[in-house]
Amino acid sequence: MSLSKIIWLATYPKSGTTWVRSMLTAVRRLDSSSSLNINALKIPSAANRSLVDECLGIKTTDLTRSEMRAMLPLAYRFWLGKQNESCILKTHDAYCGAPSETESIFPQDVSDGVIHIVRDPRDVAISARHYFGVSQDEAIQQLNDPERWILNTRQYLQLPTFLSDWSTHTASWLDSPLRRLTLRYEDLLQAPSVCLEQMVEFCGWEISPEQLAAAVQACEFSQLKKQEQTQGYNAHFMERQSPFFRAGRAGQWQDQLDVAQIERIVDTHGKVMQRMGYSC
Amino acid sequence: MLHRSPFPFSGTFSPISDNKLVVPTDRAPLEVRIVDGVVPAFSGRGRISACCELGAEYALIHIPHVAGFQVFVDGVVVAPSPQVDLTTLNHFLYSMAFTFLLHLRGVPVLCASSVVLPNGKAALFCGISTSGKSSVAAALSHRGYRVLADDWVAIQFNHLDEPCVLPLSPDLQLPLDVLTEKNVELQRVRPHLDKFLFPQSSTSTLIPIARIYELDIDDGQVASLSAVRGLERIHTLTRHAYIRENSVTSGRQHQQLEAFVQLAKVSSMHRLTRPQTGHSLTATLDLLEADWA
Repeated sequence: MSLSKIIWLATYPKSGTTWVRSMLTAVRRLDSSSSLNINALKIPSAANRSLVDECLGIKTTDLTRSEMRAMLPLAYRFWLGKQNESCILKTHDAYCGAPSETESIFPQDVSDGVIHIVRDPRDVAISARHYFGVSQDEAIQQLNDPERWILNTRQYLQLPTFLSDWSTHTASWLDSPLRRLTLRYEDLLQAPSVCLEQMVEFCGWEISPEQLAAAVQACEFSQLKKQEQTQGYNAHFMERQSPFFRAGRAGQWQDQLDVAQIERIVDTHGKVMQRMGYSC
Repeated sequence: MLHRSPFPFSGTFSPISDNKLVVPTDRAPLEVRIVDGVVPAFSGRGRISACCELGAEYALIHIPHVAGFQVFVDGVVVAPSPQVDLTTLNHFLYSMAFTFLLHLRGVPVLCASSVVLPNGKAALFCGISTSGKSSVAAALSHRGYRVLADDWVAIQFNHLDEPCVLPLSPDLQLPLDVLTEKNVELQRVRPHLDKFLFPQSSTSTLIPIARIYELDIDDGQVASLSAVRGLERIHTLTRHAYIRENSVTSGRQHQQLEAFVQLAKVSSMHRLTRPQTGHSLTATLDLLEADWA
């Protein structure tokens, strides 16, 4: 039986999750001489259907969505019991859960804390447009939709995920009762080593400065992008109109969104954006 | 007053037909006694998943808001949750309790679908949940192949000691978007669940297994077949065993392994890899049919 608990890696989609997963995988590698494989990252998704099915012993395709959601804590408890080292699960779910749900899917008794990554929603909107293959206005509408679910992704390989709108999602993690480390994607870009060190400390890992530097280097955006070009990235489930590792920059919204689009985002999310230190 | 479903809890059980439990005719060996009763809580030993416990002579299944099942070698005790409907109860009785019962009887069960090949032998399509077992079987059914099983396949040895597909209910269970027949009236697997029964004609013949395909999905552009060789053949079957035991004390693990060794000996085995995006099943089926030609 594991003595450790789960650390959740919680993000709104298109906020640098894969990059952080890569860094957290790379920093614990014993052999840093080989290149990091982006298709074998050590941090599974909490919405991975096959992982949840195996933990429950039930096919989630036989359950209604509300039954499945109510049983997720059982799956995570069982999963934790099978781990023999500290463990991280990635999630795009809002902490608060869908309006009809009375309990969070993230049980406190198995949760050690949350690493919460937040990105400027104006840049999230641009990245989402490319990733989901929708128009910019549709991407903004999705960002502003309090009822937003991601359903039937990757040919049912992922479980339905409740996102809500960007503000509700972000605030739900900021206000969760869990021990928390919130980092901004923009700060990760500015100072990846500092941010990774904070994450490592939050996880309670003992990592040498050399390992840390090697992990940051292995996960440079250009490295990840190159690997996607040569080997593909298996979590990129949308039509391949655009690569998964696309720009990896902050502030693109200033060139790519029109005034009305910026206003629609700021009007809806200004309060939480300010809370996160984004000027608007 | 709590509603109780009119489930016929006494009697024998065979594959579900028209959502009713029917008395078996030509499948007498599978008779199972089903009784309404009290199902104990998990003991804390032999837990193989959040909802299942496996002991030496019993299995316990607790599905919140559906039912508890205690499975013995000769039958199942069912404790339905107060508001569960008959169809749901039948579904989990068949898809879960029944596989545990077969396992307790020493019958290996694989997570697989199965069809009859042009040479009269059976092919199995093993895979994890959502790997496309039902979709492949449904698409083959559309091309005229007889479906023998969906979701799980029980292995029984015939008088020649050949591993065969035990003929049970072959009905496919699929979400609407992967069905090839759009115009047929379909029945939901469970009320409120977007998964539908796609009826298939059944058989009572034991059909020997000749080919096994492990379904996999990757980031490639085209479907491909690669042979599985050596010990990996046994690992592949073990990986897709419906029930994987933690303990070797019951002796069933050894029995299951023996069956898999025999199955691996007499079957050709391939990994069938399909792209995860922008993919039509047609190319996969063409590849399979070329393999069978």
